[in-house]
Amino acid sequence: MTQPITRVRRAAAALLLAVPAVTLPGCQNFLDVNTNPNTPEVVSANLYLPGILHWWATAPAFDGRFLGRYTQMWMLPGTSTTPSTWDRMGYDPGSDNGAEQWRDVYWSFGQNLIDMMTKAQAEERWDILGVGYLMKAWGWLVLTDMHGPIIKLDQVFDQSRLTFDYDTEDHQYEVVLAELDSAITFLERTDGAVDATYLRKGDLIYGGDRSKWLKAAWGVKALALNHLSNKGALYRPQDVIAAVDKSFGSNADDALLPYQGTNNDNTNFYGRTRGNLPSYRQTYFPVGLMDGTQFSGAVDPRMRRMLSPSPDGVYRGLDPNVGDALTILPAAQRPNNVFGYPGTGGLALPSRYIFSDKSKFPQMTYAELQFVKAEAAYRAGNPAVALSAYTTAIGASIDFVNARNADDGQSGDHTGAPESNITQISSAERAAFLADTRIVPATPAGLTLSHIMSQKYVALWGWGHNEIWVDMRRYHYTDLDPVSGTKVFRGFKLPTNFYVDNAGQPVYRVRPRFNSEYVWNKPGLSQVGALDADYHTKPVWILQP
Amino acid sequence: MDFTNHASDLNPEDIESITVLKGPEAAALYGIDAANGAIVITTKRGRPGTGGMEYTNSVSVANVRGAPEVQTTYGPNAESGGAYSYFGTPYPAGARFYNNINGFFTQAVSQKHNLSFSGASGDSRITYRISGGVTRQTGNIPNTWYRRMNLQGSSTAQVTNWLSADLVISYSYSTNNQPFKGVCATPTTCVGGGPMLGLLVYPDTINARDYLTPAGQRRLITSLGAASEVDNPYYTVNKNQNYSKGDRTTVNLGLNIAPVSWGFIKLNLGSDAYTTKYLINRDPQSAAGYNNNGILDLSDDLTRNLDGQATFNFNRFTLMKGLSVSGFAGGSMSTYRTEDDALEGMNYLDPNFVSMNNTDITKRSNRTVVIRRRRMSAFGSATLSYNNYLFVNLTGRNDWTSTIPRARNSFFYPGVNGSFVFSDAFPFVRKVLTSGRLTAAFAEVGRDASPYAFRPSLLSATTTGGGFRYDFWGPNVNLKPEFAKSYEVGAELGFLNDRVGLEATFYRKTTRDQIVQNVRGSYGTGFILFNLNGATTRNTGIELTLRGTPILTRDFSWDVLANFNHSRGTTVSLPFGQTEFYNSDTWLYGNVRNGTMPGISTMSLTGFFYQRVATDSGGRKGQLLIDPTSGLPLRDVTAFKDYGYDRQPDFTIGLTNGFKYKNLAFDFLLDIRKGGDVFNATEHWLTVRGLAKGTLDRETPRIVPGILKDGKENTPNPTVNGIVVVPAANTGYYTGMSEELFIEKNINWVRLRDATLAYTLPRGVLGSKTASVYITATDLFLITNYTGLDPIVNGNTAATGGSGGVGIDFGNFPMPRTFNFGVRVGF
Repeated sequence: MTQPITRVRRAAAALLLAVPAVTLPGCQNFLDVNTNPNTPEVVSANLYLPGILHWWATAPAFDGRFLGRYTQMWMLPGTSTTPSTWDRMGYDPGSDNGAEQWRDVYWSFGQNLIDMMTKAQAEERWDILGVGYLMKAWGWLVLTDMHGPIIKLDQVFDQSRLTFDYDTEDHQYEVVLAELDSAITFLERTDGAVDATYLRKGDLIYGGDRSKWLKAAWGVKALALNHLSNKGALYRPQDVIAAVDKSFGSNADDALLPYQGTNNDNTNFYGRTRGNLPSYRQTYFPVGLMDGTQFSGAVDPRMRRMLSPSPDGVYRGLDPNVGDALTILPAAQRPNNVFGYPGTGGLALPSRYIFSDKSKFPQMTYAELQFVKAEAAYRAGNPAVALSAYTTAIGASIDFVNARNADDGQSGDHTGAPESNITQISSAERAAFLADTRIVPATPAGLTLSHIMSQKYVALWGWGHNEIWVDMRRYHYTDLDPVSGTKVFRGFKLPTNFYVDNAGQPVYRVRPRFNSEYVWNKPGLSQVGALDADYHTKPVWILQP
Repeated sequence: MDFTNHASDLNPEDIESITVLKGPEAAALYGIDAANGAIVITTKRGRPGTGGMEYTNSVSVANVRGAPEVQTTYGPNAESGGAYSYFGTPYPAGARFYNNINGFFTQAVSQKHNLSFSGASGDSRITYRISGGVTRQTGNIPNTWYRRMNLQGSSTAQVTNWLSADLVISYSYSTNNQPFKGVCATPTTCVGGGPMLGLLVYPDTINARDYLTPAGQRRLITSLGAASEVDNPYYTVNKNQNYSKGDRTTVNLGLNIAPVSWGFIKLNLGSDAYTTKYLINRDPQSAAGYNNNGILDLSDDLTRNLDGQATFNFNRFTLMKGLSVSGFAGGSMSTYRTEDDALEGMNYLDPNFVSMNNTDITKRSNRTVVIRRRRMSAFGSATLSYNNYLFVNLTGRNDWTSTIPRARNSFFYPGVNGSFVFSDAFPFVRKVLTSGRLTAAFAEVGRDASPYAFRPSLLSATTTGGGFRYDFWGPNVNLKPEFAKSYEVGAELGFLNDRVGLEATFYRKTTRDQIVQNVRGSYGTGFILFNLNGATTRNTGIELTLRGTPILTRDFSWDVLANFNHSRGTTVSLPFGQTEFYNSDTWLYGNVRNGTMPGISTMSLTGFFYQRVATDSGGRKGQLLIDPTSGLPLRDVTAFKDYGYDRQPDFTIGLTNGFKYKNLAFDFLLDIRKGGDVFNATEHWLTVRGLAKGTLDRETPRIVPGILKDGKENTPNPTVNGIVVVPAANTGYYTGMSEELFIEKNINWVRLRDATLAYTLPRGVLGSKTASVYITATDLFLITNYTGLDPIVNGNTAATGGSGGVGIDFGNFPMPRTFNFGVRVGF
């Protein structure tokens, strides 16, 4: 009976061979499993925003550890008599130190910002689009001020390129101002899908309030316009004043990022838990501005609430020219760290000012903008407006210090940690300080640039690194006030022992990020002379007339 | 971290044979994963005519062959990077030393038991085999062990005269308690690594076994604090934990259907499913866990891989006189899926209770990762044979993969190989040779990318406010498969009645469009890393095998097999004109890494090496440049450079000798290697800390030979260095030493890998059918010019990919010498 068996065999064979024939058409569907199931590829526009806003406030803090040493807000004492590279206005070769904002503008903002803006445009969400333009403009502004020429704006984010050319700074500023204007235009719109609830979901800074973002955009524009103060005809102080007037109206408009403090990444970078600042110490310069040395004996009430005393109660600042300035002092005279404790103490203890784990960290403040208005008005030859803005600014700064010391329980009576006993500045202290003619001149004629810029420094101490460094560079660190003959930055002294590659010159720019540019984009760098050993001492475009 | 390689799930007792397919020919049969070769493991089946039970037992004992040596003359002076530096005053005369290093290693004992039953039905239509085994092993490091249980059943059946089936089901369950593997973040910090480095740096005047205080807390010996001090080695092996356990079930079904007389269908279905649980505990008081009061990482990994293949085989068909053809055509499908749920908790409530329930509920975070990959292929092969002495085989395969963009996800690659038994074709050759064969092969093979490699996706952000953000990798929608072309020619000759045989093979393989992962570039792209095509590498090599039976009598025989291998890999080009590529996983230590550049070996080392005189004027090219202020050499920190350091050996030889005398057999294998550099990072680390024996002459004044970098170094009259340094006073001499001085060049070795003495007992002993006993010694001796423990090191594991961490010795454990006694009895 071979025949039936053969038929069975053949049927079985046919069936087995038919199996692949049936599945082949479904082949491409079967293979379509390469969409990453672990994370989305696109999300709604407001979900890109929190990360972007986080870095908007935090990236300057990263770089502030280094810029703050250029501006002598603090120094990093060590065991050697030679100060650190940054304390000598140098840099760390082969390292990404000081270029965090480069990383965050190109990568943390980068494609995230582009996707957010594209989605917002398509969905007519003009509020998100406006915030996007503001972030974009701010990024180019900060990088231009810090580094000079940056990657060509029409080549950037092109993923088919691996090396890039560099742009010219005047073009970069044109783009910044144009994008700020776009931000303002979009933030003025209330039509389309503008929705405060939707924006609030991603917005920990202003909670979805479009009108505050609009003021912030005017604020950044004011800063940008004021940076051109050395550029002769390009500087229009009336535009600066007009922009400030449209920006923040009070401390309630301050741009503050509230750190949640539940994991490492959402804890204040300057807080004790993250451990970035315990070895830093204030220098003689901010102490001198606040303990009366530079203001004919007028002691600033903010000093006790911002700076740290030594264990013996005296407020001292270290000399950045002495590398081991901390350890050469007797223990009772060593200034406490920024958290208010000796040595590296302060872990899990109350802190002070903006140095607490859950602080609301400032990005831009009302006081800052009022100082900008004061400077612009002064330069425009309008001392009355300047004096009024100046007085308002100091008052706002005092209120700001009080508010920061209440963010995370910094002020108050802390038994068991007496080092941190800080009190709020009372209204009597505030009034007395503002009435003191050594601080606030009696008449507009008595106001000088050195008042304005030195008090701006005090108001921005610890957080306003980008802005203060631009200011100090605009005045070449040690320029004299033309009217009074005192230094614009009262008491500031350049380092006596510059970093080896400076050739005796102060620093005027930061080299682009090492592991992005010096390793992978040398052709671009060589076009602008960035491979020179002393590139960091060359003044950037905004500083040249 | 080191995790178990799943190849260890197999029970060696179940292996019938292992075939190694070396070239791309393997890909024709096994697909993309076999592009660089395949190891084919055939498991045992029952055999007709046999039947019965077999028990095997093996006990082995292993001791480390040596331990690193440190100097015990000078004592500690300062604390840095987690532990003491030893640049202090000499120990006092009567100081007591506890010999911590040698006392740390324990004897490793392992025992294996295996019982199997096999047989066949009376008409041999059905065969079966059942086997079960248990392995229990402890390690040379205290508190480390491995246990495994295997169960396997296999059965073949001739169901009808045209259908036969073959089923194998295996199950294994294993647990593995491993030490942490010792790496440091930088040469000056070694917090969170394994026990080895902590052992080396522990002062020998303090008893390391005393790792707890009387109150049961971690005993600290420096003033650095718990988070900064390197763990006592006993502390870390007892309190920190790297533990994994897993179940694995594999099922393989093969069907053989012969519907017609001229061919048959072979159908294979396989399923490999395993679940592994991982636990990593960083004790609350250990250096790694202190700042967070303990870190517990748990991970559940579920993997299920399914493979199916169907081929139609054509029996040999005679086309004309002398010429016949056979072949097969078929297709296959595979789907792989892994799902990993990982959980991390911190801040233990009770410091000694290891459980996720014991962590702070606000400090838990988790992540789920799913990875899937699917492939399909169609392939065919045809073999022409002429007069049984000339064979030509043609293969072709087309793969479709899920991991390449759809436009390019299908790729075809052919192969052809031929062999010519010229001793049969030209019988006159037989006067000289017993047999002779020439082979030649050409094959091409394509490979795909890892899953999710070409489209960026968003990560959940942990920064303030959460949200999403892009990960490091940018898109590459132009990603395409890489291709390798390989040529091979060879000859096989037999002499003297096949008492002597010689095989020679020469091969050359070029891979182009190689997919390079994690290529870095300027951040101007908006991303930090890319997966790109574009590298080209070339591998060439020669392999010679000489085998012979010098003595062959009725009672005694001596077989020799010598295998010589010489190969070189060269990077021809890198994507987009990049000048250097490195694998960041291998950047284990300091300023040296596994980096390669166009034109140099794929196994080279790049680093921040010393500055040297560049120009030839003055006849001093290549000499070190010395810093005029310190008298010490200067390092070039502008870019990672290639100075010709290459870990590729010149050649390796494996020499096996087998002696048989009646029932006694003795085999041994010698492993010989010449050439190739090894980076002794451990010795550099010890030198930087003043612990290396090479630092004992620190009080001797010396001048570092070189040229001062005072501006005259490139002139015809450079200033020769005359600055005297006393390293004991100027410790920068040691702490600033470039790792370059510890790359040991041209390392050779002869090691006795394996020696086995086996005795077959006469039939009937204990009522058995077959019985044998054996003794094996592994890694019995090592003769080498390497100054470290053992040059056969890998700083990472095989999982790193590429040339990985081979030849980088940092904190690696010494190799043990093992003695193994075994018994095999069959009833």
